[in-house]
Amino acid sequence: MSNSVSSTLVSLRLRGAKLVAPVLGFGALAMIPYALTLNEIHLLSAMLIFGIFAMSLNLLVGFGGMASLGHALFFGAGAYAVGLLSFHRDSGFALSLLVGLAAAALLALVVGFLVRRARGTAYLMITLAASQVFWGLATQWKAVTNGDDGLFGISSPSILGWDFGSTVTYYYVVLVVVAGVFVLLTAISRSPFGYVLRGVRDNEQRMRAVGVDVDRIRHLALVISAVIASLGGVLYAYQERYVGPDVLAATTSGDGLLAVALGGGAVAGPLVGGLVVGLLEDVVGSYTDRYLMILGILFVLVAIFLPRGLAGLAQSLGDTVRPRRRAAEQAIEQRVEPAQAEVTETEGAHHG
Amino acid sequence: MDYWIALLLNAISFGMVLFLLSAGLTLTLGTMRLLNLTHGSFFLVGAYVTFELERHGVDLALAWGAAVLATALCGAVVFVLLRPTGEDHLRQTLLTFGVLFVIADAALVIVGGDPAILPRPGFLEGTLDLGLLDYPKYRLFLVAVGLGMAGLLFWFQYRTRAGMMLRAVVDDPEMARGVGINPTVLAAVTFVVGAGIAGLSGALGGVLLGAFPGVDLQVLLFALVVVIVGGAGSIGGALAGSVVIGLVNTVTIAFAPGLALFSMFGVMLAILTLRPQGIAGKALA
Repeated sequence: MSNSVSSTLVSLRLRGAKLVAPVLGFGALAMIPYALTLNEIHLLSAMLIFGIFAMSLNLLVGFGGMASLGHALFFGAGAYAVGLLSFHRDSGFALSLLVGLAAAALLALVVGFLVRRARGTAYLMITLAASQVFWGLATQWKAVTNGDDGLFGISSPSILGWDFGSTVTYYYVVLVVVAGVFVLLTAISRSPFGYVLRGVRDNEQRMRAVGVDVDRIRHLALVISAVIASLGGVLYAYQERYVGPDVLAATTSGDGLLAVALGGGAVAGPLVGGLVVGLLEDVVGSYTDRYLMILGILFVLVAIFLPRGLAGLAQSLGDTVRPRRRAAEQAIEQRVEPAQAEVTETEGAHHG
Repeated sequence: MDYWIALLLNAISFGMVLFLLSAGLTLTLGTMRLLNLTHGSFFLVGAYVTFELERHGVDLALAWGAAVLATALCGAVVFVLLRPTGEDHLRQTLLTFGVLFVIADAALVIVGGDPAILPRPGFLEGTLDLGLLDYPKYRLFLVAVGLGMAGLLFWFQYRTRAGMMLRAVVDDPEMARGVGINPTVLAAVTFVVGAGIAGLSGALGGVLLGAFPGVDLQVLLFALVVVIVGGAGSIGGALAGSVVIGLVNTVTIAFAPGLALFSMFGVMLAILTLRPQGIAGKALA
C-alpha cells in the first residue's frame, strides 16, 4: 500500500518534471527575439514552421507506425492554396487558410483510401508516388502553378484589419500556433484515440480483436496529421511570400522524416528535430554548396547511430547521470508489466 | 497504320528500359521487404559512368561493363550500410534517402549540372527496314536486351536452385529460414545484382530518359509505379507492369503530353483499388 502511494508520488513528480521542460522551452522562445536580429528571427520562424511539419508527421510515423514518404503533399497543399489564391484571386489570409486546410483534408481522405491495406514499404511507396504526382503537376502545369518559377505576390497576412506580416509579429503568431499544435498533439497522444492509435501500431491483430475499427483509426490519423501539416504549409507561404515546387518535393518529406527520427520521443522530440533540421538547412546552405552531401551524410548517420533519436540519446545520458530516477521510472513501468507479459505470451499465435 | 506500329514499338522499347530499371527494385522489395530509394541513383550512376568513360575515349562496350560493375559496387556499399538498421522501415528510408542525396551531389560535382547526352554505338545508329516501317535500330536493341534480361531472370528464378530459394524467401521468409536457406546471403546477391541491372538500365536507357540532376528521383517514381502495378517481388509482374506503364506513358505523351503523370497515377489508382497486390504480386507486409 505505502509502496503504491510512494510510486504515485514519484509518478506525479515525473509528470511535473515533464511539464517543466516545455514551459521553459516555450518561455525561452518567447523571450529570445529580444536578443536576435530580424534575419535571425525570420530564420527562427522558418525553423518553427518546419517543427510543425515534423510534429504532424510524427503523429503518423511515431504514434501510428505509418512511415510516410509523401507528407510534403499536405504541407505543399497548404502552401499552394495560399500561393494559388494570392496569385490568381488576391484572396486574404482567412480564406487561404481555410482552403489550405480543407484541401489537405480532402487529399488525405483520398490517399487514405489508397493506403488502406498498405503497411511498411507499400505505405512508403504509395505515399511517395502520390506526392510525386502533385510535385510533377506543380512543375509542369505552368498555366496554373507557374512551374519552377513558383508563385509570387503573396501579400502581408491580415485578419479583420490586423496586419501581422512584420517579422517580429509573425514570429509570435507562428510561436502561438506551434504551442497550440504542441498542446493539441500532447492531448491527442493522451486521449483514447492516441492510445488506440499506438495500440494499432504495436499490435493490429489485438486491436481488431477488441473491436477497434483499425482502418478508420489509421485513416483518421492521416487526416489529422495532414491538416496540421497544411497549417505549417500556410504559415510557410506567408513567411516566405513565395511558393515553389520544392515544398511538394520528396526531399521535403525526407527532411521531415529526418526531423522525426533525429528528435525521437513523443511530441517535443520531433519539434526539436524540426528546429535542428530547419537550422541546418539554412546554416549549411549559406556556408557551402555541398549542402545536399552534408544533409545526406547526416541522414545516414542518424539512421545508423541514433535509432531512438536525440530523445533516446538524452535518456541514456540521463540514465547514467541520474540512476535513481531511472530506477523510479522502472518501478512505475513494472506496475503494468503483468498485462504486457500476457500480451507477448499469446503474440506468437498470430504468426502462422 | 505505320504510326500505330511505331507507337507500339516505342511503348515496348520504353517498357523494356522500365523493366531493367525495376527488376532489381521489385526483387529487393520481395526478399528484404525494403524500399530502396537509391535505386534511381543506380540508374544515374550507370548513365554517368558510361557518359564520362566514353567521353574520355573508352570503348562503349567497356564503358557499359564498367557502368554495371560500378553500380553493383554502389549496391554492395548500400547493402553493408543497411545492415545495422535491421527491419526498421523509418531507418531504412532515412539511410537510402541519405545515400540518394550523397550520390546526387557527388554526381553534380564530378559530371556537372548539364544534361549528359549518352552515346550510342555506331552500328546501332539509323533505322532498320521492318517491311511496314523503318524503325530506329537502337530501340530494337533495347527491346532485345530487355527481353534477353527477362529470359535470363526467369531462367534463374524457375530453373536454378538459387532462384528456387529466392522464391521461397519471397513467399515466406520464416519458413525459408527454417529449411536452412540463409536469407542474408540471398538478399545481398539480389541487392547487388539488382543494382547492376539498374546501372545497365541507366547506361542503355539514359539515351531515352536522359541523364541529368534529378533524373534519379524521376526514374525512381517510374520504378515505384511499375512495381506497384506489377506486384512486388515478381519478375513477371515487373515485366507486365513495365509494358503497361510503357504503353500508358507513351500513348498519353503522344496525345496529351501534360497528362502523362496523371495517366500513370490513374493506372496505379485503378490497380490499388481493384487489385491491391498488383498484377502478379503477393500482398506486401
